[in-house]
Amino acid sequence: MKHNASRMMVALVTAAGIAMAGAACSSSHSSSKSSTGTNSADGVADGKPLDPNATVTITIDGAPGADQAANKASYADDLQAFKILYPNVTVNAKPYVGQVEDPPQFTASLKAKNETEAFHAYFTDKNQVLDSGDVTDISSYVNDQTVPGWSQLLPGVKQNLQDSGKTYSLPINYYTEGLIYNRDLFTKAGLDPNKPPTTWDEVEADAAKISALGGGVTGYEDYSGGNTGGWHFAGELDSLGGQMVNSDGTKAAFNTDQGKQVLQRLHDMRFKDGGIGPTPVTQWADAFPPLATSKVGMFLGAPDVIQHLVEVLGADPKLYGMGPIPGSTGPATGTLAGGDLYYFKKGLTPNQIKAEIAWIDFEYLTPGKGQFDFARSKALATSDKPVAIGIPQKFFWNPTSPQMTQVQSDLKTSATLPIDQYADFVNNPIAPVLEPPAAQQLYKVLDTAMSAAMTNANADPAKLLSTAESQVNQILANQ
Amino acid sequence: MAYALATERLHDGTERSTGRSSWKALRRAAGRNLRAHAFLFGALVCFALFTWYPMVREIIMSFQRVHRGQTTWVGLGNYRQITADPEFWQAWRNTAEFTALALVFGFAAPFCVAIVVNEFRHAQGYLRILVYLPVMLPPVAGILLFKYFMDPGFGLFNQALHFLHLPRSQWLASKSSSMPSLVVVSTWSNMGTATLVYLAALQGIPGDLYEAAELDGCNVLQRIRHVTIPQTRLILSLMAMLQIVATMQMFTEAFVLTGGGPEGSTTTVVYLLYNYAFSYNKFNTAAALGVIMLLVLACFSAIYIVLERRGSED
Repeated sequence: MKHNASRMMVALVTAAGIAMAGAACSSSHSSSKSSTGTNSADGVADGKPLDPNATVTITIDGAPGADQAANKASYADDLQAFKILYPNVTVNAKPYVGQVEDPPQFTASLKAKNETEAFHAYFTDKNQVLDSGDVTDISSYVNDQTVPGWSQLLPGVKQNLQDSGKTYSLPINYYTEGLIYNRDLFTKAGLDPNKPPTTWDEVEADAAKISALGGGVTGYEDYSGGNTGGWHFAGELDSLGGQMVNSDGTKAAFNTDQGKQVLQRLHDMRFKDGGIGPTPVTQWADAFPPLATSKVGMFLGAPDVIQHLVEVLGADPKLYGMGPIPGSTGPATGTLAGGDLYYFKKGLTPNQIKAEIAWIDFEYLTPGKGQFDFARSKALATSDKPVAIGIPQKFFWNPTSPQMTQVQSDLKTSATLPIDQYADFVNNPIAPVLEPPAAQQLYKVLDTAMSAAMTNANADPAKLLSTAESQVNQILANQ
Repeated sequence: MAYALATERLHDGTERSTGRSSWKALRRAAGRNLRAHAFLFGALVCFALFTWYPMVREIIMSFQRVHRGQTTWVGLGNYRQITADPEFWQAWRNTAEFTALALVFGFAAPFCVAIVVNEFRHAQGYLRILVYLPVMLPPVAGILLFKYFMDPGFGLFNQALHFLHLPRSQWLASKSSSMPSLVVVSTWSNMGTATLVYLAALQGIPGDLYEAAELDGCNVLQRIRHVTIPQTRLILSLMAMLQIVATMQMFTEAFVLTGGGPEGSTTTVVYLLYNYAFSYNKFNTAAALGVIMLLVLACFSAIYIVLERRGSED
């Protein structure tokens, strides 16, 4: 009988444990719900900026981490300047590292509804974030009064902030892809460093010449794994006028001559003329060390690649030039676009939303302030901690807007990078193309085609694309 | 009968517990083993929170879908979706290939090393440290070393092959050699622990058995066959089971070294699960895949238990 009583004890304790687990979960839900209650002191969604006398506390991620001394100092400086404008607003800024740069952690925090009140995400995260059901519609809060320059935002940018006609986020960064190249290797290979290739035929020919330098140098490198292969396939397809999916996003549209051209050219560069070396690049970060050490002639990338090479890997900024993404026989017809933005967690009071918008506008969307205070960033740069000012970003405003005019003017006086070396990219804008639906799944499928083209001498582009097409159609049918 | 429950007789002649005395009995039981139950309670709460609850939640999630914050029940929809994905079958083939290769090489290599180390009468301690060293490296750092060793252009392995006038290999960059390359990496990383376990088992074999075998004229191979293997059968079968369970969950090597390529040749089931959850944001489909994997591993465990019982009955 003693045995029975002990068993009962174990059962009771087990039940209590499980009940506690359940209670812990349900209590977290209820506390989140209770914060949605508002009263008059919490403000109203009247489309006006935050009342400077309102007392509000907000939390936001994206603050520079301990390893970013210069950025940390300027961020603290900005918080103080913001305090002068809104003396009663307390900004709890959470560090940048982790939630922002680590996708699994980002996903976990969304699932646990543990995001900061305003949280950073990428354009491609839209479906994931909206599916979490934990974001606020800020349509009635944003206008030219609360976010100066709102009406000047590029249509492609706004499209990423909105869903079903409602606005959910504010942008802080926007880019398109171009061709990054090593000017030093161009010179050594007898090429003109001021004239980057503008067609894929030229890229192929130049890559072969650069690879011929030997010593482990490869003319061109491209991704083939970790979803980055498919991502670059999409970018190269866009440049040739192709499309990943049809206009209503229901069928694959890449199994065309343009799609085959992308794969065939990479295959030829790898196995015929040696323009691509034998080392496959399977992860996003793999591409950068050889770029930073002058082992790669050309690479397709966003302008922030240069920033990463200079600020993180300590590469010499003078090495790199940037041109527009190459096209078929002339300028490319499209270039893949992307960017970063801030969403607003559900349950914020109107004044909290207004305060978050005011801070994001101050820190990220005001020329001359925050991230656009180039003069201050330059002053904080040191020889051992370089700051890359002047990467050729598109930013997010219309090129003729007052915002862009001021940004470009400020850059001329404060750039630490050789902005003349990016003139071809800046002066030859290519139409941006948005990423396809279910982008990451499609990219994963095309990884296989890209890796086959660059690792398998017997790869058949037509067969690879047919296989990928049927897989992508299945993915799109399940959306 | 100290904990007998108090009962009352009902009108129909049956008895039922009054509950009162049973509560007293329970309190007495709890009081006598208070410390043990306190420890048990902590462990059970941890298991409930971090193992059982996520498991149950995963099973529930595998029958649901989430869209724009709304959760709906979809029955076997996620299971149909995952099994219709060509990558699903490829991932299982890849996993089976890795498991089979790891069993042949990863299982045999540490056992052979343990036998060799066991034969050394001197410097056995140093050899043990040497064998165990790779385990002390952080897993990703150890695996990353092989990225440089196996570089098809200027990697150390190809330089060595070139020096020996042997043909170079593409290692991780070819569909045919990528999986065996991962087995090499995995075997190297995990060999130390398995070798020490085998070594402990070998050192538990009574020396007179070997003496008897030698007197009977057994050579080294015969001694291994007739003494070593039968004497370590239990630990060998346990390690084989653990090896199957561990290798079927291979992820780190593929994630760090190949990103699932080339041509999807190293996308394992767990890597596919990771992709569904964190790259595609399809947690419910990932949960369905996790449940399928759980069932497969449970089958292996059941087979092991049945074989083990039969073995002990024999």
